[in-house]
Amino acid sequence: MSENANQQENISSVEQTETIEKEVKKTDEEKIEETRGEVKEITNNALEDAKNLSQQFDSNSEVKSTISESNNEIIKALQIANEKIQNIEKEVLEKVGEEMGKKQWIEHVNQLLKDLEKPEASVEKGYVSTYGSFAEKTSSGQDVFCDTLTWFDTTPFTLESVGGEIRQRLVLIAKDLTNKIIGFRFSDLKSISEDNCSLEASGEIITKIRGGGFSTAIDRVFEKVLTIVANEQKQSLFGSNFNIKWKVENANLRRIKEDIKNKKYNEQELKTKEEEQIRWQSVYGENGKLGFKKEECGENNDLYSKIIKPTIDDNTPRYETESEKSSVDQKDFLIRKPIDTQTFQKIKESLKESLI
Amino acid sequence: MLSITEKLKIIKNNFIQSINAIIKNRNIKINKIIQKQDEEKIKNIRNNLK
Repeated sequence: MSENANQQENISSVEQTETIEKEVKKTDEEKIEETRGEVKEITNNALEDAKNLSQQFDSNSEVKSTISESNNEIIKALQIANEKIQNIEKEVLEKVGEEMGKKQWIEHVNQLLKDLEKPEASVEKGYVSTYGSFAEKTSSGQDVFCDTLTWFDTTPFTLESVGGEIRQRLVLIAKDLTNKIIGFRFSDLKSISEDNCSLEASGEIITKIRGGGFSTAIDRVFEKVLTIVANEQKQSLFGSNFNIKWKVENANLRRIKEDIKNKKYNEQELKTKEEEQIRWQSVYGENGKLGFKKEECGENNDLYSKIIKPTIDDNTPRYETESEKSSVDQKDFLIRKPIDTQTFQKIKESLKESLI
Repeated sequence: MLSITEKLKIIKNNFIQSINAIIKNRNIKINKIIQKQDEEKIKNIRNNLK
């Protein structure tokens, strides 16, 4: 073999390797689009051939009618192929959603574990409390059990919030029947009025499994706990006008907008986020399941809120005042009880287990 | 379990097979029609010749 021929073979081998590598590097979305394009091209070619054939038999109505019938069959075959491709696309989107969800879950659990390190030292002193445990069901009847943790801090709790003022941190940790953590809500309660009669509750909810109705169940518990906080505050400190503004942000929608703005996205992730945000709207949006109203706040209008008012009647337990709380003997009568070290450690362990 | 690439390949191959079958079927039908029409023509010519 001549030197030239050898070089030629090497070049062709390199080109071949590059083509294979390019093929491997293609995303699922690119492969789907490519197949869609190929199927369409085959259809167009078949219809073009049929058109030419039809012209050849221009005066033969019987043949033309047969060609027309087969053209309909070709179009039907194209529709079926496109439906099948669409199902593959859905499958890919679900897979991307699962991967994104898993990544987000790990990120948020680690954040919560890091955040729990700070009050850990003050658990023994009784500075970390609980409003107790609550049971709720999802719309499909699955049991959800929520533990509550609360303490006061000055650093922001959520991944993306900023601040520095004192806030009451409220964490709901949701478990299933087998005691496995399935989600949590972390939230900060801070004063938004000079007379301290209005608190704002903001934060984020995260679930390990998406679309199972767990978020709605966890937030039904959250609403109950906020009502308890409102009752407690009204009785102990602020009188009749006390309220909590529970504020939620469509974080997914904001992230979608940011991703588009920064051109930092791939189409599949974006589609998954868009589907998630539609689910979010059905729960938290206008006329959603939880009764939130849209905030009027100018350009960045992805905020919704709900006012939680105290619901004190004759059957409402008497909440203890700060001075009454100082008595250790009365600890059992408190609604917000100090959490014991063992329970606190158990929650931390369960959170670590949920990372696996 | 099949990969996405394999699944898409199957969809494409099945589609090509369907289209080929439709075209083949159409051509057979057209041939039959033409054959029938030719036979009719021959029959007519024969009749005219009688």
